[in-house]
Amino acid sequence: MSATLATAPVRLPAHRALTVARVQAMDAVNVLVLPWVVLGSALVINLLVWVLVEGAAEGGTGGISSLYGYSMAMVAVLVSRGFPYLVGMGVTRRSFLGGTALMLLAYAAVSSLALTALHGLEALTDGFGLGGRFFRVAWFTEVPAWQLPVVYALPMVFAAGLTLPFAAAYLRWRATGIVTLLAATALLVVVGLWAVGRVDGWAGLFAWFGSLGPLVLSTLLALVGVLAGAGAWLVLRRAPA
Amino acid sequence: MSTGPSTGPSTGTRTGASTDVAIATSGLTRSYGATTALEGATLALEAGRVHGLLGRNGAGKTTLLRLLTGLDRPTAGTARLLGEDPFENPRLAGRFCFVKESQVYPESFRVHHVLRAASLLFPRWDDDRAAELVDRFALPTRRPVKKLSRGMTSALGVVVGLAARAEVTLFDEPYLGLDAVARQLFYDALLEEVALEPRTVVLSTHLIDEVDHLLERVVVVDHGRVVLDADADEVRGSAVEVTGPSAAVDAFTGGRRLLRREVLGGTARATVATRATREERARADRLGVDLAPVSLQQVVVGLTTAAEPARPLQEVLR
Repeated sequence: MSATLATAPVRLPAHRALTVARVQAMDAVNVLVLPWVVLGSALVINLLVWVLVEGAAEGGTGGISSLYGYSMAMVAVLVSRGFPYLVGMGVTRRSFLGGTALMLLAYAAVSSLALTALHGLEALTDGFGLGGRFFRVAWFTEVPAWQLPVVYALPMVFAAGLTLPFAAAYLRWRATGIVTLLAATALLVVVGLWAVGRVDGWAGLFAWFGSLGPLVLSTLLALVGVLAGAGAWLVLRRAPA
Repeated sequence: MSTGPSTGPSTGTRTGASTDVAIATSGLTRSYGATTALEGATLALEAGRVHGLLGRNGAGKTTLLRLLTGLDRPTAGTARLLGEDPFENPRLAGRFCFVKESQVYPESFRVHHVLRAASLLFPRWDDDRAAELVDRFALPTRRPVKKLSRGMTSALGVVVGLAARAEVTLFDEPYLGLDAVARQLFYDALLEEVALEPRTVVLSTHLIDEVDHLLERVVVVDHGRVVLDADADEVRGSAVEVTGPSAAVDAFTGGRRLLRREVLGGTARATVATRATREERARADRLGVDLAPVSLQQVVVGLTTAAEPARPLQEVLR
C-alpha cells in the first residue's frame, strides 16, 4: 500500500517555544485579568484602611506582594494544566518549559512597567491623596528611576522560578513529589535559620543584605529563581504528560 | 496487504522517515510498580490506513497510545512513530495529533481558544474544515471549555483531531458522551477526511460494531498483550458461528479454537476460528449444523473472553 502524505514542515524549537508562549498567554483570565484583580483588591482595601484608620497611611504596606503571591498560583496553574495539554498536542517538554518561561518573562516585564507607572502615579498624587505607600515599598523601591522596572520585575522571576520545581514535582510524582519537595525545602530553611542563629549572624546577614542595595539583592533573588527553574527542567524532562 | 500479522522483529523495528510503516513497536512494555499495563507489544501499522485499536477497558489501549505519542516512556522495548522515537522528539512536533479521552485544557480556555491554539500547533491545520465541523457538531465557540457537556468536549476533541490534518491521528475513545447522531457525524467526517487527505488514523474503541466499516486493520489488546494484529477483512472471515444440536456442534468445532459456546437445551451455538470454505460448508452439511458469518465485534469478543491464552491470527487459523 502506498500512501501519499504531504510531510509537514519541521519547525525550529525556538519557533515552537514561541508558539507555546502564545498559547499559554491565551489563558488570558489567568495571565492578564486575575493578577490585576488581586492587586486591585489589595489596593482598594489599603485605600479604605487609609481613609478609615487614622495614621494608617503612614506605615508601609505589603499589599503589592499580593501580585507576586498570585504569580506563584498562576505559574502552578499554567504548568499543571498547560503541560498535559501542550505535550499532548505534540509539543516537547523542552519547548513547553522554554515557551512557558518566555511567557513568564514577558509577563514580568509588562507587569513591572505597569507597576512603575503606578509607582509614578502614587508619587505624583502623594499616595492617592491619602499619603499612603502601596507601590512605593520602603527601601526596595528607593532606587533611581531607571532601576524601578528592574526591582519590580526580578522578584517576579524569583517567585515564578521558585514555583516551577513544585509544579514539575507534582507533574512527575503527583502529591508525593510536592510533599517531599516541601519537606526538603522546610528542612533546608530550618537548618539555615539554625545555622545563622548558631553563629549569631543575623545582624551581619541583614547588614550584608542592606549593603547590597535593592538592585543587587533582586538580581540575586532572580538568580535563585532561574536556578529553581533549571531544577524544574531536570524534573520535567522525564515527566509523563 | 503485505505485512500480515506481525509478530517478528523485522517489521517491528523498521525505521526511517520515508517508510510506509507509520507506527512500529517492538517488545513495548510499560509497568507501573507491580502492574504491567502493556507487555511485549510488537506491531507495525501501515501509513495511510485506518486502524482500530480494540480491547476492553483497562486492556492497555491508552497506555499503548501514550507510549506511541511520547507522553510516557516505555519500561522496555521501543516505539517508533513515523520512524522516530516519539519521546521528546522535536522532529515529530505537529506531525501527529493525539485526541485523548479526557483532554485537559488551560483553565480559562473557550472553544475558540482551543481551535486557535490548534491552528498554531499543527502546520497543516485547516480553518475552514474546523469551522464546518464546529457547525456540524453545533459547538458554541464562545463557551468556556469547562462549561461544555461531556459530549461537547468529546466533539471538540474530534474537531481538533480531524482539522489538524496531522500525518498520524490517534483517537482514544473519542466518543464518550456523544449521542448516536454525533457519533455518526464523527464516523462520516472521519471517512471524508481520510478520503480527501489520506493519513494514518488509529481509533481506540470498544464500540466495535459502529466502526466496523471504517477499519482496515485491527489490533486487539487484552490484558496488556497484543492478541491480534491483522487486516480487518481477514479477521471478519476468520471465524464462523455454528448452530445446531450440541453433539453435532461439538463434532464440528472439535480440534479448532473455540471462541465462544452457548448451550440452550439440546441446541448449541458456538463461534469457532475457522473459515467458511467449501470443505467446511460441506462438513457442516454432513453434521447438520448451520454456519453463519460473524462480525468483527464477535471475533474480538471471542478473542478477549476466551479462557485459553490468545495466539496470533495465523496460529488461531492453523
